[in-house]
Amino acid sequence: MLVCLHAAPPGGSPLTANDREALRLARSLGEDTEVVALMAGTKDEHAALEAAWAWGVDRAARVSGESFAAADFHTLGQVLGSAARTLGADLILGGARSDTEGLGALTASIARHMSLPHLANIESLERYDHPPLAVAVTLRGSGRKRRIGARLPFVMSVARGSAESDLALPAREGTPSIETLAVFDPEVTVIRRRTEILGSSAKVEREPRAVASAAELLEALQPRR
Amino acid sequence: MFALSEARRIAHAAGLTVFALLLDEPQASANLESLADALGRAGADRILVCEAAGLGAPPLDATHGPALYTAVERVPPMVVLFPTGGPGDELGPSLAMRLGAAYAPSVDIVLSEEAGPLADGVGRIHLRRWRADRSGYRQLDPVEIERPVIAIMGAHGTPRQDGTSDIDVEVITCTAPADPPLSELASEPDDLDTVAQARGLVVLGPQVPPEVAARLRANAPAGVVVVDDSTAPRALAAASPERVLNAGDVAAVTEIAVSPRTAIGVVDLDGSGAATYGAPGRVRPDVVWNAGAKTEAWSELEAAWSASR
Repeated sequence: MLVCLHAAPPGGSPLTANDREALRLARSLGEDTEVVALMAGTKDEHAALEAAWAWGVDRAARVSGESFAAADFHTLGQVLGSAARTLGADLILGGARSDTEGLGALTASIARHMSLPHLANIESLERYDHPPLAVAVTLRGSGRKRRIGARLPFVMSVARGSAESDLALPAREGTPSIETLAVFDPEVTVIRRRTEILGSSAKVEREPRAVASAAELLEALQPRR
Repeated sequence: MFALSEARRIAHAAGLTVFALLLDEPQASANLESLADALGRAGADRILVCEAAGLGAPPLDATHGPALYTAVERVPPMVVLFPTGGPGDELGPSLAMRLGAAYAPSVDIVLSEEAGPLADGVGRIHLRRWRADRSGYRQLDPVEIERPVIAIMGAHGTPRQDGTSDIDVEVITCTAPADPPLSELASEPDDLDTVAQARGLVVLGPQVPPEVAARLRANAPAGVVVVDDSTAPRALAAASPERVLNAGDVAAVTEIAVSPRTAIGVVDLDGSGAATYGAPGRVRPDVVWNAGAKTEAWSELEAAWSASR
């Protein structure tokens, strides 16, 4: 079981809410499931891994290289997919919005690079020992809430959970043990950054307009165009 | 249908063709005629119907992704646009991977204002979305990046009827995966689907008295849904409304997938909300009502609310 983490914005928890939910679901499969936390980046960017280790994952690993914080999802998925293949995971989780741009495309990219099926926005995960199905998940879409049985291996993105389901505080003390992985895949000759597919940036200056009444407020919110 | 209307608006300005794509079980010809009528009037120039047993189920990439790719490859598109509240967040990223495309959720589509021919490498259609920290926009031009853009329409709107019912329907026989790695164990209606489909969201903070919250919910105009911090984040993340009213500086508002077109209003109860405007993850509001810590503020809001229905 692999949980792909992302560097949280500075100033808050080192683990994003999405990543905390992914770790919680990973552990919910039982103590006999090895949970590995994985992240790509430099030594200065692995606070999330240290937090996951303190919380109690079985292993924490960093894919070494230059900073991937601004990498596009095609690139990052290629890197993490290569590492996941090395680690031999049969279930890979990632937060649905755990990427710098909040696109929710990283786990689909990992799945594509590993030639594995993908499910988006799961809300629960449990063992489902009815071979060939191994796990059961809950997800929503098209007006339905469904429980789906899945045959591993699989890559899944995890929807953010409610505050009540959030992780307990870190429990493990001591110096975090973070393994370092080098990307090695004989089929990967070039990891090409495609940052142009993220789009160009434009800062927005937006000053709120003050209104004096509730009626003016609702009037101002009438549909545009 | 709004996505089709928007597609028509921009495509015709840019000299492009709008294909409406459907994945479904094999259809009777009468059904196809009815579809052509509805989708054509909404803005489609042509319809592609990808038929296979099993495609009528709620879409998942493992079951529908290959068929979608087969259909899209026939076009091939500059932009693939999923409707708000549809299967885009499930199918879009994987389709982007298969096509080597860019991907952008909760977009607003902007047309270039240039009247004459454009320079090489500059397109007439731009797709715009908020950055994750909501500090600014990201803007994608499919012509500039030389690859298609897979996008999810942001902000529901009113569909127009600018098209015609006299359009071509092409039926493609697709092949659903013979041995999908999934099996549906249970299914029930999603009671939070109204949140994803809402054209307006009102987010109530804990300061709102319960009786006021109950009356606001009961008197909500059509298409407007009232939520609060207890609403499942997943449902909020799937919502991309035209309007958001944040009553009481609620953290949950950061979960909503607002687009650049979404109008955002705030009821500020004590002036402290200004400190959070523009905080990471929050879009600065368009309009603010400094109601102050007055109990009659809620009565005033309820009265304006009822009058707006």
